[in-house]
Amino acid sequence: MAFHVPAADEGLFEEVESRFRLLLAKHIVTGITEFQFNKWLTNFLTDEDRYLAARLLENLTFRSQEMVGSAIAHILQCILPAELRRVGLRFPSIEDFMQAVSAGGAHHPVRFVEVEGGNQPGKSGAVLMRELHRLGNVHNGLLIKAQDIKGLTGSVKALVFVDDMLGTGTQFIAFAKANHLADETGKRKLIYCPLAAYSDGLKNLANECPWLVVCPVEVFGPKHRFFRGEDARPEVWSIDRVNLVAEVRAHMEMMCKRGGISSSGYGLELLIGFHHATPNNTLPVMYAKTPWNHLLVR
Amino acid sequence: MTAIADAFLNIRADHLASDALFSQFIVPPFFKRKSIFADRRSVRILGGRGCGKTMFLRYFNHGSSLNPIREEIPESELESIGLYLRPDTGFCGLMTAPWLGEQRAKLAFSHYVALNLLVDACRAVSSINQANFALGRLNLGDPGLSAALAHQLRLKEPKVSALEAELEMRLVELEDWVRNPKANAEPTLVSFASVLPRLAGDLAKAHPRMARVGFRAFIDEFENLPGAHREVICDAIKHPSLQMAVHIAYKKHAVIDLKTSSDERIVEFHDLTTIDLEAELATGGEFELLAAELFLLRAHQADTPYNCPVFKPEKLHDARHLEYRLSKQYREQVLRCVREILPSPSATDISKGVVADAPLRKRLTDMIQKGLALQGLEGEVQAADLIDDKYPQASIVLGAVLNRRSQAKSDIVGAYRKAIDAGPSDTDPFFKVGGWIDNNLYGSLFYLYAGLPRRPNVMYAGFDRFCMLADPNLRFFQALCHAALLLAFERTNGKDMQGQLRVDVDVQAKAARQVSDKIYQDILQLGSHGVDLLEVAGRLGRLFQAFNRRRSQSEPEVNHFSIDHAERHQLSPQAERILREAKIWSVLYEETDTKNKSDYDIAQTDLILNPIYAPHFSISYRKRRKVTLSASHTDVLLSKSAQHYEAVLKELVNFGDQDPGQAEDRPGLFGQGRL
Amino acid sequence: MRFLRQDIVSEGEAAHVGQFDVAFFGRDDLDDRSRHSAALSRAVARRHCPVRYDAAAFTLTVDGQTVSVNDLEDLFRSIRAQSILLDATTLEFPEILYVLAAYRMQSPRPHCGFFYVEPDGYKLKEAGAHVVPGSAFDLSQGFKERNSLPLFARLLSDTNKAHLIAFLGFEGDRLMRELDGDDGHFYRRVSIVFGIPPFQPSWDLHALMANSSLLERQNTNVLYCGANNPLSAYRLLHEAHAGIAAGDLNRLVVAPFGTKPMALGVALYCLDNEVLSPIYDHPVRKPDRTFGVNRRHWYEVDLAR
Repeated sequence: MAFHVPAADEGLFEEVESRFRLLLAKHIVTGITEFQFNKWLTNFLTDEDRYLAARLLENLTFRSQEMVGSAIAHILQCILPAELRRVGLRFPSIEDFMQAVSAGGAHHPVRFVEVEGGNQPGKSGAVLMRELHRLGNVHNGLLIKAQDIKGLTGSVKALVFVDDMLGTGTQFIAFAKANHLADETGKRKLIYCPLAAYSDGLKNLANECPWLVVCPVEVFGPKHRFFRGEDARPEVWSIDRVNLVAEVRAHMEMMCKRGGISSSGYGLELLIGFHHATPNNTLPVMYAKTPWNHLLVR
Repeated sequence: MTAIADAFLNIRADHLASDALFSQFIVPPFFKRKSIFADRRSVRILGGRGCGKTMFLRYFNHGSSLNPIREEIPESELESIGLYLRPDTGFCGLMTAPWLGEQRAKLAFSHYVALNLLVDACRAVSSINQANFALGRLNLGDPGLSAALAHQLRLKEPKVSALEAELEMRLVELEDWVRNPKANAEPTLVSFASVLPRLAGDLAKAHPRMARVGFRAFIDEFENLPGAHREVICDAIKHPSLQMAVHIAYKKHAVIDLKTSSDERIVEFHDLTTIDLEAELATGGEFELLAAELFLLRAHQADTPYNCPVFKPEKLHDARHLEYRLSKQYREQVLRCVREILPSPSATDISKGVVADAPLRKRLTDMIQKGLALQGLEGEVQAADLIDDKYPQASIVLGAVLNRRSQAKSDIVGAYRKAIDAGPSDTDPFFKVGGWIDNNLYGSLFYLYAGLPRRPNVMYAGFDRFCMLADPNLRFFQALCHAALLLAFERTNGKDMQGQLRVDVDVQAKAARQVSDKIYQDILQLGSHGVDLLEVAGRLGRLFQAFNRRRSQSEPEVNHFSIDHAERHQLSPQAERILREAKIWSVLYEETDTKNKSDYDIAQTDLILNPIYAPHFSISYRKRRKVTLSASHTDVLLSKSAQHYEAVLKELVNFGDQDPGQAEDRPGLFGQGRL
Repeated sequence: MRFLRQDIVSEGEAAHVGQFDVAFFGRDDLDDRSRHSAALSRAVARRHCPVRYDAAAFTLTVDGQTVSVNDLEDLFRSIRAQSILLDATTLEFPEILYVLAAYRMQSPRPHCGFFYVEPDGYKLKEAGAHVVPGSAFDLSQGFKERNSLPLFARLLSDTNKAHLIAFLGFEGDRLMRELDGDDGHFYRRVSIVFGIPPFQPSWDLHALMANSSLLERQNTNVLYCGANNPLSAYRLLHEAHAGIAAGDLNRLVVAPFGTKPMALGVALYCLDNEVLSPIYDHPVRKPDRTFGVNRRHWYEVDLAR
C-alpha cells in the first residue's frame, strides 16, 4: 500500500497542530511566531502531507533558551565538577565550583572555548558563550576564543568546549585540527560538551581525537532518526508501525521536490532545533526556505 | 474588554471576591419551589462537580448576602449569617488518631473549625456594619465579648477587634502543634459547637436589632474529611444550638453514612433536609433556562450585542425577581434568543445535509446497497437510484430497514417508492406517526456519522443539544460555549462583533467533539481511581459504539444499560466499588427504570453513561434504548480484564452487522510494547 | 546543605564510592534497576536497612523496627551512623525525607550519599487497554488518599494561599488530580517543572504530551530543571522561595511528581526550609514498571553546612 494515513490516526494532525500552538503560546517552543507556523503548514497540501507534518512536529526536540539554560546548568553542576575532579581539580562543593566560575580570575584553572564552525562563521559558538555567561553565570574572563589558547598560562588546567550539536563530528575534528588542539593534551584536559550529540559523531571523535573527553548533555542515536524502521521489522516505519519506510521516504521526497528542497539534507535525518539555530543534521523540511516556507531557522 | 470566548472560561467560585460572586450567581428557579433553609434544621447540599455547589454555598455567605451592593436587606438575614469553611483536607489528615491520638485529634479538628469560622464571623461583623438593611444601617462598632470567650481564646481585651487580631496567632499555634506535637506546646482547644453560639450570644447584646442573631455554618467538601471529623460535624447537626445551624455539602454517593461520635445516626427529615442540586436542576426545563440566562449574562459581560429586551442581567442575582424570570413570556424569549445564537439543525436539515455531502451520501449508498444484497434485491435495483433528494429522511431510514432480517419478504422498496411519490401521509410505514422515520431516523443518522468519525457531527449542534449533553453540569455547558465561540470568533472582543451573534452548526459540532474528547480524557484525574473509571467509560462507550455501528439499527440509539434489581445485588464488591466511584464523579448515573419495555413488571436499575461523552464515541445522547445485562456481564464490564471484556463485547453485539475496518479509538500514541 | 557530588558512575566506580555505615533501601524487587541499585547500595555499606513509610499510620519501619514520625530521633539513636547511603532508586519520597530528617538530628550529622539508577525504558500499557494522552504508560496501580506529610505540612486557609510548584513526569493525571481537588481554592499560582535535559532524548516529549492540558490553565507558568540534577531542583525552589510575597499568597507547596533525582532535590530543600510544604500521593508502584539498567548516578551532600 502506498503511504497513507492509518485509520487510527485520522485525527492526529488536528491534535498535534493544536498542541503545537499551545507550546508556542506558552513559550515552550520559542522563536517561532504563529504566523510563521501557519505559513509552514501551507507547505502541506493533502491529508497524507499533513499526517507527515504531524509526525514531524510530534517528534521534534526543541530546546528553547530556558531549556538551554538548564542544559548549561547540567554541564556546570554535574559534568564539569566530576571531570575536573578526575584530573585533580577539586572544589569543596559544587556550589563552590559555581561561585568560582562566576567570580572568574586570572588564576582560575578552567577556560571555556568558543567552538567555531567551518563554513558557518561561528554563529552558534558565540551564542553559547553568551548563554554560558548570562544563564550559567560564567565570568566573561573565562570565555575565550581558540586563538587565545596559546597565550594561556600554566595555571589553566582544563579547556571546556561547549557547542550545540555534535552530528557526524567532522566539524569539530576540523576545528580541532585547525587550532592544533591535540598539542594541548600534555598541558591540560580538553573537555567537549555538546548539548546534543549523535552516536556516530561520538564514535568518530573517539577515533580521530582520542585525547578529547567528550561529555554530551543529550545523546541521540539511530532510534531518533525520523525514518527509522522497527527493530523486528526494519522495513516498517517505527513511528506508526503501519507505513513502510520506503513509502514514507518516497512521500517526503515528493513533497520536498515540489517545494524545491532536498529531502534528507546532510544525512542524519534528525529532528532537533535550538532557539538560536537549527543543526544541519535536522531534516530540511523543517528549516528550508524559498520557495518552501520554513518553520525553524537555520 | 473581554474576548467573547474568554467570558466563558471556567470561573471558580473561590477566585471571586464576594461582590464579584454576587454578580455572577444566578438564582436558580428552584429557589421559588423549595424554601431554602426555612427552619433551623441542618441542610445537606448534594452536588457533583460543575453543578454550582460551591457557588451556591458562597452565595449564602455573609459577603454576598450582606454585600453593600444589595439594597433593602431584610432583618431576617441577621438570624442566619452565613459562614463558610472549606477545610484544608490535606492538613486535616494530620489531625487524626494515628498522629495525635484519638481524643486529641477530634478536639484539634473542632478547634480548627472553630478558628476558621471565627475568622469568618469577625468579617461578618464588618459586613453587618456596611449592609443596607431595609430598616436602616446598623452600626455595631466594636462589640464587646463575654469574659468566658475572652478567656478561652486568650484575648487581650474582650472585644471583637482583639479577637480578629488574635485569631491568626491561634491558627499558627495550632499549625505548629499539629505539624510537630512533640516540639510545640498544645494550645487550649475550643469546640466550635460551643464557641460560635457563645459569640452569637455576645453579639446579640451589642444592639437590640441583634437580639435574634444566629449563624449558619457551611462546611464544604464534607466527603473529603476523615470519618472522625465527619462525626464531629454530625455531633453538631444532631445536637444543634439555637444560634448556630451547621450545613454540609458533598458529592452525592460519596458519603454513605452520617453518624455521630456516639454512633447515633443522622436521620433525614428529623435532623436534616436535603437539597439535591443536580436533581433540582434537572427538573422540568430549569436547566435550559439557567443555561440560557448564563449564556446571555456572559455575553453581556463581554459587551457582546444580543437581542433580548426582556433579559435583565441585574435581575438574576436576587430571589425577589424570580417571578419575573419564571414567567412564560420571559422563558420563551430568552430561549428563543439563545437558540438563534446557537441554532440546532432539525433532523430534516441534517438529512438534507447527508445527501448533499459526498462522503456521507456514499456511506448511505453503501448501507442501502448492503441492505439490498441482504434482501436479495441487488440485481433488481441500484442503491444510488433509490436515494431521494426531496425526502432524504426516508432514504436514510430505508437503509436501516433494508438491513433487517426481520423485514425479509415484505416489499420495502415498493412501500418506499409509494411514500416518495405520494409525499408524507399518515398511512405509509415511513412517514406515519410512530413509523419507521420516527423510530429510526436519529439512530440511522448516528450510524452514518459514526462511519466518519473525524467529520464534525452536527447532531450535537445547537443550544438544546448542548443542554442535553451538559445537563446538569453548568461547567460542561460553559465549556461547550467557550469552545464554540473560540472556534467561531477566536479572540474577537465582544465590542468588535460584526453583525448578529451566531455560531454555525458545523463549528458547534466541532466544539462539541473537542470538549467531549477533553472531558473524557480528564476522567483520568477523577479521584484516586481515575484509571479504573477511564477504563469503564471506555468500555461502555465502545459497547454503545458497537451497537450504533450496526447497519440494521434494529435497536437504535442504545446508550445505556440496565440490570435487573435481583441481579444488582449479585455484583462483586470490586464492581460495586467502581460503580460507586463512577457515580460520585458523574461518569455514570444510576436511575430506577420508569418505563419497562417488557410486559413483566421486572424492576430494573438503569446505568447511564454521562451524555457529555456521547460526541467522543459518536453515539446518541438521548435516553432511548438500553441493553439489559446480567450481573456477570456487568461485573466483567466494570472490573475484569480487557480480554474478558472483549469476549463479552462479542457476545453482546452481533459483529456481522457491522462495517469492516471501522476506525476504533486510536491505540497508544507510542504504539504497543516498549518505549 | 551543600552538594558535593553529582556524578555518573560505571558499575566498577560504584563499588568504590566509599564505605558507608548504613545503606537504606526500599522496594528492591520491583524491576531490573531496583534490584541493581539496591545491590550497589548494599555492596558499599556495613549494615543494610529496608525502609517502609506507612502513610496511614505516619510511621517509618526501618529494618523491622517501627518508629512514629514523631519520634524520629529513636531512629538514629538505635542505628548510629557516621555515614549513610540512601538508595534513591527504591526509596519513595517520604522515606528519603524522613530518614534524612532523622539523621539531621544526630550530632554530628553523618556523611550522606545516594545512588540513583536510570532504567532503559518504561513499560507501556497493555495492548487493548484504553489509552489517552497522559496514560500511555502502565506505572502505577492507583494512588492512596493524599495525606500531608507530618513535620513538613503547612496549613492553608483563606489568608494563607499557596504557590504550587509541581515537578512533572509521565503520569499526566497526578497533578491534575491535585488541582481538580483543590478547584482553585488554595493554590493561587502554579508552576510546572519539566525535566529537561531528560534522561533520554524524546522522553521530554512524552512528559509534555502527558501534561499538555496543564498548559491551558491560567495562572500557570513553565520552568525547567535537569531530570537527573537534584541541585537544579534545589536551586529552582530557592528562587521560588525568594518570590513569595507577604500578603495572602505566602505558602509554597511542592509536588515531587517527576523523577526521583528531582524529588531528592525537593527533599533536601524541605529539610532546610520550613516554608516549603511537600504533598504526596503515594503511588502504588506496579512490578516491572521499568526495564533494564541505564546510567548510574552517585550524589553526595553535606548535611552539616
